[in-house]
Amino acid sequence: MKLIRRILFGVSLFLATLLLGVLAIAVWPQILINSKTLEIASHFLARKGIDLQWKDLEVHFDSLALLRKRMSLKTQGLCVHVSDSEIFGCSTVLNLSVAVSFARLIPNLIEIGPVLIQDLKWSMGSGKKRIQGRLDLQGSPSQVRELEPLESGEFQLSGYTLLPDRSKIEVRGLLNLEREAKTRKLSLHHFNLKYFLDANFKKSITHSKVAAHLEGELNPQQFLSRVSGLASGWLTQLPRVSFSNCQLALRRNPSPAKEPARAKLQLECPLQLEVPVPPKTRNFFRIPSDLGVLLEARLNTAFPPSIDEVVSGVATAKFEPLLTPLIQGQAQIETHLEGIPSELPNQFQMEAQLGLNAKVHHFENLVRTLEDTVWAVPAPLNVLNGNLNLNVNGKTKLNQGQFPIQISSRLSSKTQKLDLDGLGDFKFNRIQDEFSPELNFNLTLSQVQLEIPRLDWAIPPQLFPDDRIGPIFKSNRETKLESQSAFNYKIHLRTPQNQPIKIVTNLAQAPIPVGLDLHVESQKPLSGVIQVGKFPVEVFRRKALLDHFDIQLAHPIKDSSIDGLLRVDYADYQISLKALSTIDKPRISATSDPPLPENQVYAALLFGRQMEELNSDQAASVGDARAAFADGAVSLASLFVFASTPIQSLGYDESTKSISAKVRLGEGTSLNIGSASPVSGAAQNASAGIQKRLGRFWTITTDLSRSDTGEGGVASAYLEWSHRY
Amino acid sequence: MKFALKFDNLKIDLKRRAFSIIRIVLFSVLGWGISFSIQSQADSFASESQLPNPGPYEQLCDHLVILGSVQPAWTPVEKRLICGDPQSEAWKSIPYSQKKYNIRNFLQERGYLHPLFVPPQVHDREIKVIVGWQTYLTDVQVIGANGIVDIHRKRDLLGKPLTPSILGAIEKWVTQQLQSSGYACPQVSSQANSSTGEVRVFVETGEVQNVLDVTTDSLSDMDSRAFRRYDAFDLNRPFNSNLLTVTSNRILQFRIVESTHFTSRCDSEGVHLFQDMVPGPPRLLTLGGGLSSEGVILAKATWRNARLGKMGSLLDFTATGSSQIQSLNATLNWYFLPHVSRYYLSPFVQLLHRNEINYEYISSTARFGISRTTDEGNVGTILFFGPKLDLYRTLRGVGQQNSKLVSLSGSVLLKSHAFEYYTQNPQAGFTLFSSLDLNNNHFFSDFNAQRISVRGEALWNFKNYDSPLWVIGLRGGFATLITQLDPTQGVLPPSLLQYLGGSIDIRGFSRQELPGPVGGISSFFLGSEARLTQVLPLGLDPFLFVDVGAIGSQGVSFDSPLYWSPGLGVRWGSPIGPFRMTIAHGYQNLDPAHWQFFFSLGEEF
Repeated sequence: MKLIRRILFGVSLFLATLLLGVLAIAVWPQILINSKTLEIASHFLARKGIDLQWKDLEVHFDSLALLRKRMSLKTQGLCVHVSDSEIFGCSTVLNLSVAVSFARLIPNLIEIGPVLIQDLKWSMGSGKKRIQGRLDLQGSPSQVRELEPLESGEFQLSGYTLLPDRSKIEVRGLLNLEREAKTRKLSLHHFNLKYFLDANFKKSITHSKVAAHLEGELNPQQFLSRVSGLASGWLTQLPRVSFSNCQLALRRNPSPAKEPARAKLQLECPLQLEVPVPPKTRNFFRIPSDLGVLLEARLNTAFPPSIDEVVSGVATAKFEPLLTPLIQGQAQIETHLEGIPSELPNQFQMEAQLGLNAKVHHFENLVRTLEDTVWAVPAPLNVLNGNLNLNVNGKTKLNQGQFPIQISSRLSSKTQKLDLDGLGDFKFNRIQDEFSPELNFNLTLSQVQLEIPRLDWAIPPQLFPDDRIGPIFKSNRETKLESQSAFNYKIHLRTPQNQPIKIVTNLAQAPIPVGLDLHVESQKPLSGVIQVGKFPVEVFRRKALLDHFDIQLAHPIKDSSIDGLLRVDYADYQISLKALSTIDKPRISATSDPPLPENQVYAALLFGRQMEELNSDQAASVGDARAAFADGAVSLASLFVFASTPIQSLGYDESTKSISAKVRLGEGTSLNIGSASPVSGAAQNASAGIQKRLGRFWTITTDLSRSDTGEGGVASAYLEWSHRY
Repeated sequence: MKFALKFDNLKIDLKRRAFSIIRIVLFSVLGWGISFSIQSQADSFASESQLPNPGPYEQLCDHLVILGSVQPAWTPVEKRLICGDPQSEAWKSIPYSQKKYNIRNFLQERGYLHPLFVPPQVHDREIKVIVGWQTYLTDVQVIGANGIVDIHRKRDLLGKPLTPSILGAIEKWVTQQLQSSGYACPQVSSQANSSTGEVRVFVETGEVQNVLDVTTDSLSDMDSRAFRRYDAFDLNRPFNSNLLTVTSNRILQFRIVESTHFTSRCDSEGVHLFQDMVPGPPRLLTLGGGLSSEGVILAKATWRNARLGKMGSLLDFTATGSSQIQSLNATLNWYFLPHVSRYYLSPFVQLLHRNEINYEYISSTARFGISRTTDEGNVGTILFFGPKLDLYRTLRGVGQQNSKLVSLSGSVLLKSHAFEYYTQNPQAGFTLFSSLDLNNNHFFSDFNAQRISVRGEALWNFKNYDSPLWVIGLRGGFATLITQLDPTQGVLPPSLLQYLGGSIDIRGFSRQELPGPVGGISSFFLGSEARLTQVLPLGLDPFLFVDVGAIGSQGVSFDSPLYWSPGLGVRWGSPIGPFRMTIAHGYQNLDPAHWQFFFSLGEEF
């Protein structure tokens, strides 16, 4: 019993001593925290890798109440170095006052300030990852009352940070803190922060910079901010963005305390974008270099905003109408979004509605404007008048988008017309990091009549560059790589069924109707059909009708299959000239109704006579023409030339696949069209045979019969007149 | 007024133009300006200070000056596409970028691949075009046809302007080489480096393909299958385009039809041939004139039925006349078998008057026998065997006045396909003719005179260039009589005696000058010639030659002197046949004889 009493006494004495000690510390905290104990603590911390040094240190405690104390710490030359994390800081002066309440078991911070940090130079990291900066902070509670906690405080903050790449962020601000009235606690969530910041950020190498001025208010119920600033040099496509008086309001929704706090975010921000229009274009199109955009947003978000919480709402970008003498246009983008930004793009739904409308009211003005530029509208389109329209309206999500595109033209001149109507859409899909854009477009040549250059009955000049000749050799692989593109497109170009393109040419009596049904696709050769419809022609000195000429395009283009039919009417029969096979080697056959031998048909076509009435030269020409046509040696262009010109004779050398023709240009005038190669050779010299026709009845014949008998031994040439009967 | 224009590689160009016209339509619709605009952007404008010395000056149109020489000159259509066409509302104005695009294309067509442009300035609206220099072909490589096509054989490529048409010609040449090597349907394309002038030809040969079948036009008066007897090619053997030409030439040589051509189509199995015919009427009357050896004017008249009967037999009556030889010939090639065959009966009758420096006679010959043609390997052969009757009447010179020989005659004519292919421009191949006449004075003949003759010619294309650089020719002949008679006995008619001299054997002596009035029993000659081709302008080919020969008074023996004649000449491949002129000096052993000049049309070595 005695022992128990002694133990109880001892415990009571210990508790009383402990209580007295705590009470003593609460009343005189300088017992525990003073310059000497801090110096001892610094030695202890040094062993833990935290080096704490100062030139002068003074700790002073004020008693606000029995259990409320204010500690004032004044230091000069305070330096901290945490060797593990390479943190270093050194200030000239650091004065800090805080008030703490010991009324509860866990001390409670009830006041901060005044605070004075002068010339705090700090750095983090080392080597290339080192960042450093300077900070000045000064502030004091605006209202200090004895025995009452802090109600508000104002702090001035200034400083800068140098990033590893020597970029610099400067900050100046005024922080205003207020205590939340009900809870009386001093914590971030319960303070009303009024701030204004001037922030500057520069990247010295790229000359990129951001300069912004923010001011606003932050409290547990709302975050209001007004921002003005300028960002430049960050994107080539957008060299400069300036914004003035951007209003951002984030207001907390009223909700039960247990539920996560949500808020409404409202943004209204007028932007001025500098569009990188090339100077020439800008001058010619008179496009302003600045583009005004009004950004608006109505979003539901967490409060305070967090990238790990759901965000939903609508954001809109309204572009200022573009009104230039040449082009008028306007555009608007409306975006609906919902999701968790940190999980973007997977758990984030975003759908944007894009509207774009552009018009060229006077195409002729555009032609004039571009006339002396590299973008000049070429003939024969440069004489057209009228307008062009472009409309793009569509929706896009983060991983996929679709933009319907509509274009139209209504252009015309005295002899030409160009009415196009295009409808299609631009789509894109994104799977992980792969972005696949795709354009599907149907272009209808609603009403088109074009004039091609005035040509002569001769070989047309080379109108397009021969891609076989270039500054470098290309391997097949390089050619394939060139043709591959990340952009997939499918363009369907067609003419309405009864409205083919009309091609006006001096070589035909009437416009040539051409129907198109073409498919232009990425990574695929041009495919589709070109159909030349019925039109009257004069061929072989007779009126004829081109019934059709269809080209089914293939790759390479010379292998495209053709199907053509030309009808020539004679008194007793009709001749049909069919062209089949490929563009490169068109096989031309002639048939008649009622049927005639093919030679008779060619005789009628070439000379307008029956075979029996032809002389030897003409008969041989018939044979040569047949062979040349069947062998694909007569190209379509040369057929056109031959068919349109009175042929006196035609020769074909099957070994060299070359043709020659003598055509009559007028009375007593003839033109010899030969196939002499720019390089001679045995192939050219072999000639078609042992006879060389000179004219209607005349040939040069190399007589081999004498050598056959062996009696003469040499060949002789005879100039012969011959007649078959 | 007649005039002629020459278009480079007409076929290929026309094809390209066909594409061009299609592209005009398409690009006009699609806004063809895109293509040239893009190119225009890539062009660097030249400042005048950078320009090389441009050369001649041409004011092509208002505000456009061409500096430099453009060959050939601009065509009217080209001018319209550069300067605009006042007669066309749509094409009256051509913007600068389009002018530039067109000029660049037109210059590329001519081999000017590096033009410079000075655009119009505010103070000076004039456009200046510096034509620049032509890029020439420096090297050609064929890729994908190793061992099949040797492009270095193509002699006259390097140094030519690099143009689209020359690329077309190269592709065509390579294609032809492949087609003559069994690759019937090769794929050939080319690329050229505009900076270096190098050309690469890419070839996909495909497989060697056999000729599977021939489809021939049907003729009303002849079984068209009979044309197969002229084939230089064989079915189920590799395709060779040259043999098609040889076949056509054979048919045309006999004037069987007016015109014939082969066309071919490939499929996975092989090549199908199609032979087109323009038969014309079968009967042919021909009157002709010309120059033969020694520059003698010839006249010739022929009547021929070239399609006699369903098997296409030939009946020919020909009269030829010159100051030295006049003859009447009747020939029948009678394909007597009821099916297509290369056997035929070949009766032949000839009446001949010959008046040479040393003799004059009239002879009549009647021959009846069977003939056969064959084509084995690269050689075509004509064989003849049959009896022959020769009647001679000597009018002047040695020999009895009238004589008669009944012989059993045989002959072989070998002719390589290459020789036939290059008929009009001899440069390769060989021909060899040999004949044998056997007779006996106990069998309707007046005396024994077994006649043997061999004559041949071979040509080589030195280093096989195309076109040839040097054509080397060798020709020779040997003829002899096996007889107990001596020419001086005055029994043997001059037609059986051997004489030499003239353009057909020894060119340093005049026609039939050697050995003198009394001919020989045996003779031989050997001639060689080296012709340089396509080096001199105007198509003149010079050549050097040496002919050697000898005559013997006994069978298969030769006496002194040895006749020889070095000389030189020139050949001109005129549009109406080859003209040849030679001048040579004859020698008898080392004793000079005289100079001899020959001129001929149509003669080849």
